[in-house]
Amino acid sequence: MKTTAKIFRFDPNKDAAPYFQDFEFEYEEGENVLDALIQIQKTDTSLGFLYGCRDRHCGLCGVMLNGKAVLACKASAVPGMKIEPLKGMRVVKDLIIDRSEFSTQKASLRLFLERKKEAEQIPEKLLPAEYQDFKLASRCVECYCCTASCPVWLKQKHVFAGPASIILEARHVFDGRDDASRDFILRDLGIDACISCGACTRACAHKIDPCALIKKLKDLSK
Amino acid sequence: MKRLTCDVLIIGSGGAGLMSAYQAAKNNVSVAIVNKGYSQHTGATIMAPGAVAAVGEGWQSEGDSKDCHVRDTIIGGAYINNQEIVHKVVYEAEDAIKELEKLGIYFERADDGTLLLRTDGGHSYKRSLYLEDHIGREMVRTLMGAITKQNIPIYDNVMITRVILKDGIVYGAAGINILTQELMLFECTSIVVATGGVGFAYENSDLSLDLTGDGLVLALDCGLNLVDMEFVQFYPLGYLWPPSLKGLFGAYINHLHLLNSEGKRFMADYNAERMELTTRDILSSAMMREVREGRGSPKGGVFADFRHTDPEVMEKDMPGMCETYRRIGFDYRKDTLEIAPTAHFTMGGIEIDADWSTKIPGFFAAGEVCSGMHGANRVSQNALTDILVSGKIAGESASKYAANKKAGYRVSPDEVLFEQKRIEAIYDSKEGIPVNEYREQLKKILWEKVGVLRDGEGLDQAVEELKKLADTPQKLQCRDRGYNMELICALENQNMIKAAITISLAADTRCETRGAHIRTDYPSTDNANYLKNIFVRKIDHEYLVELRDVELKYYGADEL
Repeated sequence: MKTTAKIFRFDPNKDAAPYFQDFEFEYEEGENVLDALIQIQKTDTSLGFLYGCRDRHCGLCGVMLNGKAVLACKASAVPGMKIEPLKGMRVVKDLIIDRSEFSTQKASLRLFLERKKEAEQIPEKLLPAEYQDFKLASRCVECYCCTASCPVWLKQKHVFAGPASIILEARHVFDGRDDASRDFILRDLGIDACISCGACTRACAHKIDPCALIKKLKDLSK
Repeated sequence: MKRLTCDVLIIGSGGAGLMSAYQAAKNNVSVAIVNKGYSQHTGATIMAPGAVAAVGEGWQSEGDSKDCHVRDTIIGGAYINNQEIVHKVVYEAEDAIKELEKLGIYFERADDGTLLLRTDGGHSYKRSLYLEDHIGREMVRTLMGAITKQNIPIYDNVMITRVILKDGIVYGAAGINILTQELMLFECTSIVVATGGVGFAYENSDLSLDLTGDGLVLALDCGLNLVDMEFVQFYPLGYLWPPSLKGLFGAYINHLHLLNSEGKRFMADYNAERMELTTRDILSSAMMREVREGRGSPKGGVFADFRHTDPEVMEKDMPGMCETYRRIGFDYRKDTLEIAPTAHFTMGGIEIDADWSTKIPGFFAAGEVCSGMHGANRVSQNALTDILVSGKIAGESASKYAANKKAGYRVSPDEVLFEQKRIEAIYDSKEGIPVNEYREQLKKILWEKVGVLRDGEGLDQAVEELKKLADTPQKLQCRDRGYNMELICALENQNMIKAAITISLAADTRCETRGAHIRTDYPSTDNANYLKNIFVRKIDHEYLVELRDVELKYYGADEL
């Protein structure tokens, strides 16, 4: 059936202000948001929207669907839906967010293994029970849906860097091999400002449960 | 125009590119990476769910050996692999993997802390390391960390469109900044092309949008040979529904039985010994034959049956996929899933030597963009092995070359004018086919005529139609300057069409069935005439095809 989607438009090279545009598309039960956006992008090639893998691996297609942060490839399309770029992010064009603020920040997170002494033998004996949280954090594809859903980040970016950045750091905190003191980094990211509301966990398409991991990190540093 | 200088320029930031960069930077040369999109969000590696195959001390299965891994790879490749390359990759994989673990990768462990192994089609023993269903991302993440530590600059959203040669030697590379359309000129002594394959040129494809053969065409445009291009691997298990998932990874071979419309586990008729765990070419062609002979599923595939697999194992080994099943309403405990083959991997690629150099001084390549390792068909879990080792050696070779030949070059800024003209020509074109439509036509020709099952007549038509399409201009609908995705698609189409022509020409030349190349008009393997590699190169607008004998250096001479 034919239906419409209301899509956020903004080209900083042309537009004074953002606006919404209605697009008609052919909707079938079971289709996801990505189906609709691909269809629409074919009729209007100026629509700025990025996707890569079509199946949750690339982390590029995060958008707000009727106010909720989702991966377009993982969310069912809804007739009459409203699609916006991830909330709180700078926009490159239309639905494409500017990732540079996160990549700049990432450089200071020291996202690599730091140890005082190299392992005596490789492969090392590593107990899987001690790597459960590491594995969870390793699922992150950096789509930033969690950050766009975080009420603290949306209100006070300068205080709290958002759950995604903390999860990236968490991977190394939960790595038993790592000797770096990452407490300061977590403090700098504003981990104490987290209110454990669970919005990030609800937004995560990879079932990482950032909220629980952040809580564990807080407990560790007590 | 932006002008940048480095010793070694790495093109592509997937696993092979990052490994090259990491290795090159150890040799006291300046390294830079350019990537067509956002790093860690593009390329094939981050999508790899499977495992990385290697035989190594500390995880070697009883009876297994590196020689056995070499043998499996060559048998899988139907004897036309470059055995020197296979030997090198297999023998150096252990060190590469151990190095990765030093950098912080985590592979799945058993409760006693030792490595857990997995196997898949084509391997004689369990020898592959993995992490849930995202080992590829874990590899990229680990290497990205190493590169951050080394302070290697990454230029994201830059598409390289030309390698600059002077007197037949690499002097730099030119391209375009995708976000701003600013022209980019990199002055460098050597390059490592690590841009992956061209599988996205097929209508049914499980690949990300980036795999458009950009590096293959950089090499082709420099006059280098592309080898074994007729061999495109079709992953047998792609979704058929819903539309946005069409072609994507629908299942893993190790947890399913394949059934035809009569409910029969039909692989018994094709390879009773290994059944579903045979190589991917045998699976794909068996499935398409079932479909052709009227025993397919309603949507044109066959049925994947997981009902014999413990749901707990399913959830543990493939959590992401189980989630997708639920979303599209497929209950793997009760129902079966319709699946069909989908373009997955390009075995062919740039002609390289065993140090991953090419015939052009300063031009190196790594990963899927290269030929040689996989022959006529890639054994599962060997791709990640290949990118690690080829990346490592290419990075080493490129940096040594650069260190011995420090600078002295200056590239004239005029060099980028060619690229400016190419872009303006697309903007100026008043006639031609819209970019989207152009891409659809290209994908359709390849899928229908150069797909899983091929024949001479169809291939002749494909070559003719593709050449005609290559001469047809593309027309932009979106005239925006700055960020214009349609323009990038048009540039990618120019690459895909050239790569597609080499695939079709090579497939047309190989009048036999071997590995992933299945000719219905020549159904058997013809070792007398085709134990050869097919080389395709381009001089101006002419494509030249040449056959060369395979050297059975380590394995196969007694069998064939």
